[in-house]
Amino acid sequence: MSTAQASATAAARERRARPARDDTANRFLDAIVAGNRRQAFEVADEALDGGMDIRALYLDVFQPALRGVGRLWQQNRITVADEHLATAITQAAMARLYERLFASATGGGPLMVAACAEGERHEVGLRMVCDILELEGWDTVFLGAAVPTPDLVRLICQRQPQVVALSASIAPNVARVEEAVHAIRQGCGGSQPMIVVGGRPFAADPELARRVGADITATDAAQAAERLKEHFAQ
Amino acid sequence: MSSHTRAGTGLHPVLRAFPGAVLELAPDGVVMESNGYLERALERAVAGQRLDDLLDDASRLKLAEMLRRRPGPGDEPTPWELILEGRDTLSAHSFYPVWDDQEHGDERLWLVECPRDPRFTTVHDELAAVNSEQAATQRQLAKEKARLGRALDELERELSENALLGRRLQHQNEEMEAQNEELLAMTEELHSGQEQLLGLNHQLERRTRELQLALSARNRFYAAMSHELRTPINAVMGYNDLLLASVYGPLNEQQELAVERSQRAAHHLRELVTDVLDISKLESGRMVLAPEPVDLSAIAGEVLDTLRPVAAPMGVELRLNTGAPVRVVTDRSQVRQLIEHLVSNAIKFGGGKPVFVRVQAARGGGAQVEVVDGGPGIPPEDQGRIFDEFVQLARDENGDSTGIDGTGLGLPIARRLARLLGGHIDLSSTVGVGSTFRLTLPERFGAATAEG
Repeated sequence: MSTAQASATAAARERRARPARDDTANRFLDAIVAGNRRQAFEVADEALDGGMDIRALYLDVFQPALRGVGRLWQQNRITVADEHLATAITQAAMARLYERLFASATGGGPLMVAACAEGERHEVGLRMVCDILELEGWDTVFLGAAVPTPDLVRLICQRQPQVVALSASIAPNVARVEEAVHAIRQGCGGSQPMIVVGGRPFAADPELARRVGADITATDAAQAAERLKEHFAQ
Repeated sequence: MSSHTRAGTGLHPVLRAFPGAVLELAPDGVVMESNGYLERALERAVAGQRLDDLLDDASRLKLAEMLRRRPGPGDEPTPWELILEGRDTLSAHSFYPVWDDQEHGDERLWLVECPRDPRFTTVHDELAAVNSEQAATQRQLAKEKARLGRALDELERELSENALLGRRLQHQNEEMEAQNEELLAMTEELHSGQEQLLGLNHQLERRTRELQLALSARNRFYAAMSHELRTPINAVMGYNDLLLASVYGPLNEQQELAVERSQRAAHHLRELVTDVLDISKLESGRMVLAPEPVDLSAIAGEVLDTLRPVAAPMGVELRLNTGAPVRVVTDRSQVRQLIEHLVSNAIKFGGGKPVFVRVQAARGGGAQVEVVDGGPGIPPEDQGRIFDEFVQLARDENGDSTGIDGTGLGLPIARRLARLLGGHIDLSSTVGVGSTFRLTLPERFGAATAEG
């Protein structure tokens, strides 16, 4: 089989798979918006049983579903409380995958420490970046929401990661990210990690990342994983 | 904006006391009136501002939709949630939109917040934090578990490898033990072999000592016997001479023949005893040499003069063939005896033919004395043993008897003497033609002596 034929076949398989994934993402969105945790788990389990891998579940089901939640809030069809519940259910669905995810992770790749800025509660996006990189063989330490900056700097000095990922989902927290970047740059001395930042404000303004002193940014988990992989593949 | 009133001043006291935000918006989204609640919550000015400036991106879109939408009659009022940006915070607020166009003909949109129980917010935040922590813990646990699982796998693999290695080592150990046992057995064999060798060595030493004792005993015996024997032989010969000289009266022919035979036998016996004495002296190493310059031609002449009386009766002619004196440093009496043995041998076994003695300087120093006879010759197979003691070749090979019996010791003594003087004797012989014994001596005794 030629390369062209192979890619054509792969594209055809992708076209066949796409509606199925969209359907899965929609059913998952329905379940989390309804606050139906059990149904959400069932949708995820069915997808895995149907041969979908964890990476596809993250990028083609969880991520679009969470975007759908935002869209629904914007359409005034759900409230912030609904949104938080939907996010919490999605996090629980991800947590159920961890055993399988880490068992299939190969390890041996670069080390990344990830944290939400002080006061930042939106952590699911950064968690997805960590999990996707973990699947790619990276070693990731995910510190979660609202990490105090001094604690973060201390841990980074201790573990000396190649990459530090910071996220802020709202404009006021961008200042916290900037403070954290400066604290890391000052605290780490000679061995400076690469700093990647993400979140809605950074996606809206591509220059913002540079202004807060970060090295790179990305608009979503897949792009972040791709850019970091590219950088460390060199 | 001068038409806009100041915050809350134109509001009904009930609205000012309302436990939530109340805003009066112009259709362009500018806040005309505020009851002051939002000012306190956001810590920033609200009245007189565009509400858009207080909202996040998504909420702006929602506000635009609220301003666009006119509820139809009988519509259920729906709350709209907006995210408001404070000085340091974002907070969600739910508003009921109410349109009012009665006064001044201007349309106004009233936003009346549906207040939330503050305890709800707290509980909600706490729940979110707990949820987040739980997920993080689960992640960490799963990761640790996977790591431990891999470590365990590794440990098991190492253990099984170790077991394999252990078995291999044990096997090697057993092999080495077996080899060790073999080595021990071999060592024991070697030890016993060594002991046997030591035993044999002891035996050998004992035998050597015994042999040496026996040899010296034999030599002493020979010496004593020769001396003790010569005295009676001399007596016999003396009386024989007296008888033959008719001192005891004339002998008849038969008596004279008998006495002559007795005399010959006695003579032979004395010769034998003398030779044995010489041999034993040579063997015991008690021969004392006195080297001096001698002329071998002169000595050879003397020897021939001495032996002519013996040769003449047998019809053997002795001829000396020499020119100038041939000088060497050696023991005079021993070299004389040596030449005498060689010439005597030639007389006895030369078949009655003339014996030639040639004396000359050897090439490369030293001297040579050749004794040439015209006897029957010695076959090559016998040439090696002719110098052994008591060897005499068969009579018929040597022709008939000359009447003088050899002792079988002459040539062995000659060779021993030659070696003692640092020289050697070569024999060349052709059957039916004769033999040549060639004595080679060094120019100076002791200079080239190899054996004594």
